[in-house]
Amino acid sequence: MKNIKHISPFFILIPMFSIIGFIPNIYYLHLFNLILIYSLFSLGLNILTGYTGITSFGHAGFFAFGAYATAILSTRYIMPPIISVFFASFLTGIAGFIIGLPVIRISGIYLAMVTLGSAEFIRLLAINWESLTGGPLGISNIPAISILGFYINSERSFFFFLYPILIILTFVFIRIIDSRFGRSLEAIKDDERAAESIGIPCVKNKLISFFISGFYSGLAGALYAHFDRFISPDTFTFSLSILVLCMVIIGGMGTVPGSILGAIIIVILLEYLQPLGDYRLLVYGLLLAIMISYYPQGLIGILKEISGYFKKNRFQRNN
Amino acid sequence: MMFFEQIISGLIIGSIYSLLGLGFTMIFACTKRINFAHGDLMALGGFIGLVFIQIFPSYLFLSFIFGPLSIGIISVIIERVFLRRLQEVQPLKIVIATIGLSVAMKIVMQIIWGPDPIAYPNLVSETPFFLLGVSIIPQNFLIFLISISLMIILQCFFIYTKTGRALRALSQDRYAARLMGIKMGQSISIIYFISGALAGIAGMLIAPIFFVSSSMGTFLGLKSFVAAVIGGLGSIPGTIMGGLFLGVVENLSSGLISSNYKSGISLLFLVLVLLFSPKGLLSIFQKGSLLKGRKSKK
Repeated sequence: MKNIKHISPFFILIPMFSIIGFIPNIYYLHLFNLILIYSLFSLGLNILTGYTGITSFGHAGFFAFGAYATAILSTRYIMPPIISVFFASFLTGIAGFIIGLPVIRISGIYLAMVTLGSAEFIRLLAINWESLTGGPLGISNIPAISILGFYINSERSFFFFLYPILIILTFVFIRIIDSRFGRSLEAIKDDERAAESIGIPCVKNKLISFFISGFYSGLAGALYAHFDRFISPDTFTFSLSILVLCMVIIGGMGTVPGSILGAIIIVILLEYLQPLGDYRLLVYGLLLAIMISYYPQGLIGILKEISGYFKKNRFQRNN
Repeated sequence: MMFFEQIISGLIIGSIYSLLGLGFTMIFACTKRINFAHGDLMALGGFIGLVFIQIFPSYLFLSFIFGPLSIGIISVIIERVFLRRLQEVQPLKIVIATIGLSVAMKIVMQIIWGPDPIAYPNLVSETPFFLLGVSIIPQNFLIFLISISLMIILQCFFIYTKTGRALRALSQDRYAARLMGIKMGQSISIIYFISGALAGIAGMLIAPIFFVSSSMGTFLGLKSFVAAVIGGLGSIPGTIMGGLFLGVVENLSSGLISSNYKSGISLLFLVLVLLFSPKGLLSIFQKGSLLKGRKSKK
């Protein structure tokens, strides 16, 4: 019965938000597609940063890995995109597992540096391995995803393709978090030694969390590649890693709605601060610094505080 | 000779890494946190040095005094305003906050001085001289000389002066140091001032070679952090060695393998060092360091 409580909001949300797919303005639809992709991406970072307590400064690397894997598989090896997307995300999961291997020896900031280094290395490979990745020019003409002969090449069809995927994967994510494994992750975040002493296999669980994180981020990257139909190393810079970290932290670390809320806010800010050009990074930097020092629980934490405030008032009124 | 020239240019860039890495090391040793805005302080140092050079065109040494001093003061202000209130938060959150700060600083510099690199006046003549058959540009030699002498002065400061000893005590056990009457806030301000001033000097020294740009702080800062970790974060001799070592390795590898992977190699190196000797390379050779601050876990 506990599960019904978790699913119940979805029964309302699923039909409600699919109405978005029918709005006439293609530009807004484009924004919503971006939000869906970035939600997946920030969910991927959230399981690592929010639940396991491992900060990654290199998630753009996973995103790039997924995008390049599916682009190479579908253009060079003529694999059907719908298969190559999931193949690519699985490969990214394995890459995440390998990048996470140093977890056996190191933790904290040193591990964050390893993720940063690996992301930079993936980007350098993308720039320099020209025969495979097209070098600085990137890969263009990535085929659109097709299901049963129906091509998903417009914004609207992409929305209706992406939306169920996000719903299913969010549901899977919640199931993972609610499982024994998910709770063990939170135990590791709170106190690793205590978790170890009650018999939680810390290293193994951290590595699995790296795998899941890589899978989600790689899937987001792969979908992005088929969404934009063009990828180049310029997309996957350090600032993308910062951006997704912003999403997780502003939304609220360790909450599922937080990741999605963060993605919505960052994508909207990204669009409406367009006239500022590169200067919008200033806004992100300051947001990141302010949120982390004043509201470490993120927007979800603020919302909870506000609702708690109202509840308290009602309680006081009743007495 | 090609080989020796590469080693020498590696030592020169390495001495810059060491100067910057010392800032990371000192701040880590005394406050257990990592300030990623440090690299951007260096870029700011380059710009402010340029302003002072334009103010005192005939007295270069004056700008070499006022530039780093002002960066030191800015560094103290940043610590007071943004970082001090984060005292009890997790260290990783401080890293995230300083990354945000670094991004913001970069953009502010871009707004003031524009996104393009600005050429720097040459501090000394450019004609190379020959030492043992290797041609050396005086500018580069000056960089090496100044940074090495600064490191020696710093080392002496930490060993022989009372303040230096207090800071070392702070890095060993902050609570015990506090009980002995060492003022925490003041000492932390001194540490941030010294590291900021060193970053300012590094920025002014590197500027004639690389030009000053708002984005130069990010990667030089990152690499000097890598250098500090390679040598052993929290140990001053380790950081100096790590910086020089990283500079040489990077230059040799870009000469021998390919310059495309230059920044990748240093990061790969970092991963290897972290995996096999997480306390830094120096810990292989010696037990204990000058600034014993590093606990192996966390």
